[in-house]
Amino acid sequence: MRTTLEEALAAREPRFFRASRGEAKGTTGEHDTARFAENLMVLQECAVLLGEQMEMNAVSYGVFQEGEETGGFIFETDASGQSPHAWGALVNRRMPFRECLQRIHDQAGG
Amino acid sequence: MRSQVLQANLNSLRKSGSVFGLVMARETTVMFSDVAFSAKAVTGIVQTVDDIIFYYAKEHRSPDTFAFGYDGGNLLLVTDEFFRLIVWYSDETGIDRVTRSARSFLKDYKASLITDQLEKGLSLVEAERVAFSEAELPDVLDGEDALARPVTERISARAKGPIDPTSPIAPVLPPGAKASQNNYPVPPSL
Repeated sequence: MRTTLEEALAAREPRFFRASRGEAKGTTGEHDTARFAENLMVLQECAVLLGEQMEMNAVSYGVFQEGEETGGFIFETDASGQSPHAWGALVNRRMPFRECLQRIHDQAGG
Repeated sequence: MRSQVLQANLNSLRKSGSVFGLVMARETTVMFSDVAFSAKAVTGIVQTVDDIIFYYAKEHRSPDTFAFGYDGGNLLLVTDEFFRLIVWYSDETGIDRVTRSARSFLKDYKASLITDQLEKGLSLVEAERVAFSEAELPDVLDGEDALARPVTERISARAKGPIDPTSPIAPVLPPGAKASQNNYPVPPSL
């Protein structure tokens, strides 16, 4: 029986994650979730570093492509604005950025 | 690619769609800049981009395309070996068209550098070597390895925590701040 991760990889479909309050959560196993968490930390730091140079401090999303992989995150806050969290995805193909971001938003909204 | 053609092609990209800024660099050397930031800010951005690429390279990784959304617009970064194209645009829905245009430009630019050398009678191998040599496009940061990489160190410090699903992930936004949502609706359920 194939795992959720194996199914997603075989179908080349995004694996979705959520991160908030110091934790990342996903459905494709600890290793895959840790991999997403590492990508998220680096990507958001890159966004912040570039934002500092431009004096743009509020980051709403970040996406990247590397070889045959695409990944990204979106940031959201709750109604009070006090609990920011990230939704993100990794997919083992070069997915257009627009589609990647929309799929993350769809997942967040679902 | 002759400098006039390079400039014309970059101007064409600069004026396409919702693009409102463009910088081309070879590593830390700014080759073209048409964006409403100061020269100092552009230098800082190009240096930061170089540090980001350096960080990934140290990790044996080579992402070639990034896009980030900010309160003041969107930033696309496309890299191809030494060359970086940074594009600012306002319409997030056009992100893939801008990406394709930027990547095509870089590909054509690299091909033109080789063609220029082939026209001088060099072999393909030699043309590639000369086209991308430091002599053709000098890097202002000689002895780069000796320079401090504070940005890289900062990324490393941030990313080198324990790699597990519960490793700390600090929010980019300070408490109370609200990110620009651009064209994406905030899911009401969250």
